Amino acid sequence: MLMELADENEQSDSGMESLTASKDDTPERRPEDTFITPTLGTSPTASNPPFLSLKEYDDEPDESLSERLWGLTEMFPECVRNGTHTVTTKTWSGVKNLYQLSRSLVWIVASSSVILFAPVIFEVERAQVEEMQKSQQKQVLLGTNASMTGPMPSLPPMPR
Amino acid sequence: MSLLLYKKKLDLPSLYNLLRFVSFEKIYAKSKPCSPTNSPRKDPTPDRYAGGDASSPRKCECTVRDNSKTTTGDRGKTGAGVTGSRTGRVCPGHKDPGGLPAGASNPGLLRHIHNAARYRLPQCFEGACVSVKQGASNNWVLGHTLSFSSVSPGGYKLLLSYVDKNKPVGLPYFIMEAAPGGQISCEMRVGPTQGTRATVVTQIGDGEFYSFESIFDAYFNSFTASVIAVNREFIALHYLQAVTEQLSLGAEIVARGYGAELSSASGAGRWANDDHSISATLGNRGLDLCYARALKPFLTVAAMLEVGFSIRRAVATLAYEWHTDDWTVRGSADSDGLVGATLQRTLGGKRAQLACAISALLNHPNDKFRLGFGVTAAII
Repeated sequence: MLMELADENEQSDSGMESLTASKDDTPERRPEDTFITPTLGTSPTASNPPFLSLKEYDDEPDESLSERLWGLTEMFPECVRNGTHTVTTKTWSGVKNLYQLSRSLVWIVASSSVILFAPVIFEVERAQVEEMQKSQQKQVLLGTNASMTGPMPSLPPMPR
Repeated sequence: MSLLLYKKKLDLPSLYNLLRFVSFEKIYAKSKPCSPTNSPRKDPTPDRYAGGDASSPRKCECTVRDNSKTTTGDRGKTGAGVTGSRTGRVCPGHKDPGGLPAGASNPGLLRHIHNAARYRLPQCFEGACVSVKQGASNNWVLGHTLSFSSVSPGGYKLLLSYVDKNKPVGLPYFIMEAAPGGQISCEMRVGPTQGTRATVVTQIGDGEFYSFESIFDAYFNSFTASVIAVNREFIALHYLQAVTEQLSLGAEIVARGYGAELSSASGAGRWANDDHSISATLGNRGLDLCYARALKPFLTVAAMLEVGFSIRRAVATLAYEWHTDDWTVRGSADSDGLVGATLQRTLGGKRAQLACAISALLNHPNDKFRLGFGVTAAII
């Protein structure tokens, strides 16, 4: 049974279609509309639809890449298309808002910390540095005293 | 004899005290007039009540008034404070009790009930201020102040004060500040008897009295009472009783002459020990809660919540103070988005002749910043 069906299809296909048809043919554009051999006695007028449609179709440029890609989206159902659009736009605006929020948050925290804690830290550090200096001075003094306990050489009398 | 006494106390009005001569603006940048504030300075001995007459029986010459049109009725951001409370009138280094009854230190005055926390707030100001103080040998102090500012009118101010250093209570006490344009503010304090004090504070400008406050305090052994009359507008009665050594309870009644619906009554309570102090005021105008804690001998933190019922506003504040002999830093952060800090330091040691103060106030919602700098020199 299947073989018979296949034979039928093969017999109806003459194989000559490729001579007159081209790759640009789509179901919307019928081959006889594109390649109509002009018959004698007729002239191209507005009332001659096959000739106009020929002109229309020939001048139409090829689809650009983005148009073809956009055309691919037609294979998805409407809700999938809408859902994807919503997800991407919301994600992008969410990222932008997060960036703005983090900017203002970091500014608020940093400026408040500077105003609240900088004087204290500055003064405490200064006090510590002063203390260290004082203790160093004490050390130096004590050191000098320790070294002075040894015998000092006596100076010779000044010559006159 | 008096000369000897004066020489002995020569070091007392050291320059650090005189820092408070710098006139300060209120920290709340949004409020319209400034309250007459004095720079708060914590007593070196941790004074949990932080104010009142017991710790500073003599008002030293360090108090300063701002020439602005505010009265005791200005009670802070939400209007729920205690009438008459001001910041910072503590003079350090006083050992004598001043002859007041025990009630002066145990409950203290009602208007000072929140001082343990309020004193930790920085008093931010704007602009530059240069002041020079001269002390004469007869208890009079003369001072000159130049202030420059972009938010408040600057200019020259003359300061005159009289404090009787010889008397242990230091009364009578008088301080006056005058500007060439005719604005004068002065405060006078006398002690009619040993347990009572009377104060008059007035501000005069344009030939009329902007404000006229008279305060009468009575101290007893376990309670204090005050009567405050402001401007012929209202009279406030205060009462504070020491229940135990740590707990005090009190009440305030404010009676208005013209707008009787604005009269208010409120109750107050405070629980304080050496480290903590919790105080609360609750009335029909609003609620005030304050908490102060001394983490270290030099570091104190405070938290405040003010709620106003009629104006439907609440403000929470966190503040801290780091205090040493040479410098003091105060910082605070607010739920209104205000962040402020002040640094006061002596230039050149404790007995120095020079002191400076820096203040910064950042308003986050409005994105505004105010910076202030003041220098005070003492020639005594």
